[in-house]
Amino acid sequence: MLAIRFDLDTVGDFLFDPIILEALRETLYIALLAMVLGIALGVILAVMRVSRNPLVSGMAGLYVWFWRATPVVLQLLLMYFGLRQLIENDFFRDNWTRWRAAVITFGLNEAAYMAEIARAGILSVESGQMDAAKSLGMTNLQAMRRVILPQALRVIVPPTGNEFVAMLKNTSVAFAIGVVELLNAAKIQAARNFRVMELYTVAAFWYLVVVSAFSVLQAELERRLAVGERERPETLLSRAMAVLGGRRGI
Amino acid sequence: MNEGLVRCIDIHKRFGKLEVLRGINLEVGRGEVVVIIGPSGSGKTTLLRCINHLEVVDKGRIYVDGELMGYQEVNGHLKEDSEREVARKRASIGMVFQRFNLFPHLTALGNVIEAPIQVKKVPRKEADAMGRELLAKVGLADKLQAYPAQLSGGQQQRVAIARALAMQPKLMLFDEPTSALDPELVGEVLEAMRALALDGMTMIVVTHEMGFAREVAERIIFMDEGVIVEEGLSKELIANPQHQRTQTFLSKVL
Amino acid sequence: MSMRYLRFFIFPAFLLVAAAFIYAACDGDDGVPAFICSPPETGTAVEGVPELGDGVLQVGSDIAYPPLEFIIEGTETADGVDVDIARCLAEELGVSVEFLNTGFDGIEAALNTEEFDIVMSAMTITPERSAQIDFVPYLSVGVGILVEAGNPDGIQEVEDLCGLTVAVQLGTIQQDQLEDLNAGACADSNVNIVTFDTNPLAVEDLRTGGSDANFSDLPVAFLDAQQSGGELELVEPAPNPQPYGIGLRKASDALQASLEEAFQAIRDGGQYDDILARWELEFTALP
Repeated sequence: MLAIRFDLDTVGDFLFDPIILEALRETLYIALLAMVLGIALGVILAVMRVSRNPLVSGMAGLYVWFWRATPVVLQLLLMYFGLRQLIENDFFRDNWTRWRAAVITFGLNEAAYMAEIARAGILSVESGQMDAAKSLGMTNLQAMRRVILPQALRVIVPPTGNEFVAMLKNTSVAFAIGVVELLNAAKIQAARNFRVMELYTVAAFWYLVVVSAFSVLQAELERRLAVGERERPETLLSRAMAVLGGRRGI
Repeated sequence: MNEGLVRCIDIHKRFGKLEVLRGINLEVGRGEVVVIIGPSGSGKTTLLRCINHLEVVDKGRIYVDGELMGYQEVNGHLKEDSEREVARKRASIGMVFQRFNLFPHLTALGNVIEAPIQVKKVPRKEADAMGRELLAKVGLADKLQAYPAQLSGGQQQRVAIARALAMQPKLMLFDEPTSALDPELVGEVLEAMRALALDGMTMIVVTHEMGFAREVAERIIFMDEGVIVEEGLSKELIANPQHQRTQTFLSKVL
Repeated sequence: MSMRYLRFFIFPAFLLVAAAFIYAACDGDDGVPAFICSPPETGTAVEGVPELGDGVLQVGSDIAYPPLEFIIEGTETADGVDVDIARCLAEELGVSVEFLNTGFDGIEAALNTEEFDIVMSAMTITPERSAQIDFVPYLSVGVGILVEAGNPDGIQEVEDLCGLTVAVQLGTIQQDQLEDLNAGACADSNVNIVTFDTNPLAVEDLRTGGSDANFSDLPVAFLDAQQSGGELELVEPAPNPQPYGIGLRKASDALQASLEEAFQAIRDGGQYDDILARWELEFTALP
């Protein structure tokens, strides 16, 4: 029987430790930037995929195939070490830092998944909408921008939220190229003071906090997007606001 | 007689192995209201969709107001239209669909002014004023800010009509506009269409509403299995159908 | 391409995958490495030593640290100084030996949760580690600094690393030393410490210019410089060799006694010297 050596004091010490908080900031930073890149590129790829031009849709298909088929860790190693090895140019090496490589690799990887999600969203909009838009004289692009994509968003947002949560956790593999974020900051400290469980508890705590806060935001976003629907989903936040509003007689 | 606003010459269209239009010739004059009737699968909807180039014909030509749909005649041969050209030509043809196809994320007014603003670059204020006027005309002045989900079927279809009219089309195509409506709502839509006809709009209407056909349309065209079986002045065709198939069909519908 | 034609690709694709599996499974046997000792395939239980009750000495190791421990290219067999020594100890004790590849930074924790019997992973004995586990010393090893060929930053001593970017493996004494430097000699001009899960990755960072130097154990840095095809060179700071120890749980008293005995036996019997000679690391012999 192993004695339980969990030390709450250590957890308390590191919970708000600047190194941990700095690493948390790094995690959010990388995840957010990568998501922005991934969503933007993903929507473009999705529109390309539904195009009737075989060259356009084929190129997008190739992209998705490659970036989905290989593990992110491998992509990171190739994009950082691999490219730096191939390109011995000083300017490139000075600017292609591990953080930029991480953000861009995660972003490019995410784009492949977002492309599929966005494509599903676009296809979920009934064909009559495109008919109506076209019959009014809109071009394909105008129709996409003004009619199809806004409706597709309702279907796209929930899985995108999931992707962001997955991204937050995936950033930890960037350790392969030396990027320290929340999980690995905990790991590094644990390697020094051997308080493995305590440090990982600190990391788990912050992941929970961030993901929970994000879930509240996501639910609210979904509610706002349900504009024009008969049933708008009630969220924790909207219920809370209703109660508060009621008390003040608003 | 003036050259027709719409001229369909020997139209053929197939989907895969199925030939849906097998040599359609049709002419619709300016200001004329033409009703197309026929059993399902006869190609009526496909014909409408060919006229505004939502479908591309395999053979034949369609002229709307003198312009060849989908192509340009350059030095004697045909050059395919760019997407822009197609969109431009479509903009002067309005279409009303069986399932309304309103944009659910926009209000009634929003639906109506969307295309004028985006496609014709009409300034918002102007488009807004026009939109209000059109919606008032179809009897929905009090529903400007309503979303489609908050409107009845009949109201939605009237918004759809106003939306199509906002582009000031020369021609209006109606694809079974009342088929998806509850019976008590059909009347308000037909009324709006009648007002439009009286205003002098050129209309091609696919419908089963024989009352409307008799009262409002000048001509009725009966289609079956991809060909025009019979056409004639509406009151006459209804009273005295010449062909066997027309008689059979009318007996079921009337 | 129509979906119909996809059918024709399914069978050949299946064959290709099957072939790949068969190829991978058939081990190309190039011959056994030149191990010094040959422990039995099936060992006998050692009385009084609970960890060896199953006749197997299970060794936890981060098997990516040549020449101390590494996987022979193209195989699944481990080789290296630590592997040789572990095999000789096992032979002495009459048990078989099994190596379990484990990340270095969690290896004490893994030992303490009984994932294996001992740790042999080029682990330097330090006071902090000794608070967690016990050690049987077996080698005496100094540190080495790996730099770009030509030593552009002119590094001679560990203190010269101030202000530079240095790549190290997570959980090593080198990481500790750099942190101590930042608290002391490099307080005004900190070393930018970049940590990696394995040392090869850290070397890669040096090789691709992400770091100015790689800080590891002398034999490792020596070998890395040798195998770098002239790209990297070794800097040997003033010798201050520290003992490597075989790691054991605090409670493994009987095992510790047996290992100490076995170790003495292989020193007396000459296998120890043979091992060091095989790897040309005579200078790391325990004094």
